[in-house]
Amino acid sequence: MDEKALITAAQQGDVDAFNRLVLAYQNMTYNLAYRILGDGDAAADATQDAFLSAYRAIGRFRGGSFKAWLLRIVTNACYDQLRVKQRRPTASLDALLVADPASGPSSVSFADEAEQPEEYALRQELNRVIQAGIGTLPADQRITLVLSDIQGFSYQEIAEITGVSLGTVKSRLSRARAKLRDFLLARGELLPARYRLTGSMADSE
Amino acid sequence: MVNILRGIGKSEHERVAEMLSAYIDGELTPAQKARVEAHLAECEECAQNLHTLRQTVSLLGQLPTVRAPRSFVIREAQVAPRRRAGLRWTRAYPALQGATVLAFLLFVVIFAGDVALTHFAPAIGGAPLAAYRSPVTEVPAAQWAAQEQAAEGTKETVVAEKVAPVEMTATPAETPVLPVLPAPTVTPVPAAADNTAPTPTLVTREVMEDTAQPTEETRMALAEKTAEARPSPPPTMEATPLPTATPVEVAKAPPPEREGGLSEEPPVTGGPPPVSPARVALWVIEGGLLILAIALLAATLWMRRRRRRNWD
Repeated sequence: MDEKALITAAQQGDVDAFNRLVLAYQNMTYNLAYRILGDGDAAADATQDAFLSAYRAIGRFRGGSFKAWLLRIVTNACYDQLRVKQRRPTASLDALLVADPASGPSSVSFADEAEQPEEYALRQELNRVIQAGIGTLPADQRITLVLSDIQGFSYQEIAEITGVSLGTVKSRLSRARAKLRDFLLARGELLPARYRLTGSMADSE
Repeated sequence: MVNILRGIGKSEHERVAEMLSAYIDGELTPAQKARVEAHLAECEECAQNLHTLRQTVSLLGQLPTVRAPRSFVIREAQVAPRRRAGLRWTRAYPALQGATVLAFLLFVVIFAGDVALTHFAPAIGGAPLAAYRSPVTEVPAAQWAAQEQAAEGTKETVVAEKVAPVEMTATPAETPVLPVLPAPTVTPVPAAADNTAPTPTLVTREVMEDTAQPTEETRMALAEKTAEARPSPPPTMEATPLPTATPVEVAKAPPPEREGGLSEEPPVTGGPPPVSPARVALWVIEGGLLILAIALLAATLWMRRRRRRNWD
């Protein structure tokens, strides 16, 4: 059954058909939520909420890109989680930076199996700093940045998912990248030499 | 206008700096791209910014893809009942609210009616209650009526007193079943016949002259029978065969029509009526309604709290 047929079946109340869509999209959904929220539990909550909302709303899906439609629901669920987080005492940036590796995603996988233990540790550390940097961005910029630079969506797709104009996507992304860059530069000493941002143009282009 | 002014106020450097992000993504028009590249060739700062931005983007891109820690498939039970519950919820709440109001209103109406009937309008309240009064309380009424009549005639009192005890014995077996009722009432009939028999002509004369007296006699029997059992035709049935004389038959015909007026007589007899089953039943209904209303109110308040929490 192709996606269209699954959607049609799900619209008629077929939970199994909908669940096949869930299985197809849950990794992407969870990853997006995790990168936006920077927290495994919140990401799981957002993912669950998003799929439940999607199931309830699928009757109103009127063609177009199902992925964009679903991710719009996911980003809304992330906004909700961020609002919940704001109400609760938020974890400080330092706490995020020195976070226990066990609190991160348990299923983090690396392409390079031969990576040395210290390399692995450095990479883990770098990823944590990047995630902390994403966490400093306003929600709109954060979601745009994750959709673009982590999920690899085009401006047009992001505009569709977030429901804003192309120009807005462009400016949000520009500001988000600049802020994150500044964040990483300011914490240059936290970065391993290999990844430290330098002013050199040696490896550009 | 503001944008134009801002554009004028901005240096080429600032404008290019804003375009670097889109430049990385290849989202600039050819003209914009040429402009950025021309500026980059002569501006070291912008070239450095481009470099660090590219690094940042590539760092983001190398972040590992986090896989879902568990399956997020939806269980039927997770969706269907919640959905149905949600629907039922929104529908049940107004219904519950309405039921609460209704229960309270019903209680207030019944309670007010009860109080008004028993305290402020005993005459009205007495009538329906009398129907439920035990037969024992009726015997004095009959005797009282009989004694009052004793002052008028002698023969009638004998009849009345004879009728009264018989009725007393009959009332315990008080049932609307026809075979039972006629049996005891048949006995007073010969008694009445005996009393009238010795002076047949005289009595019939008297009856002819004063219709009130013989009817009073039948009225007695009727009053008690109608109070106990509605099927009152038996009295007339019995009354008709007893006098063979035609004038009596005519005289005895009217009583059934008086029934309506007669039923009003019992309440006249005073004395505090004992607690009747009707009153107990009313109290049970009132109490039950009050408890129901309070339970409904509690459920409504609880549901409102739940609802508010759900909508947060």
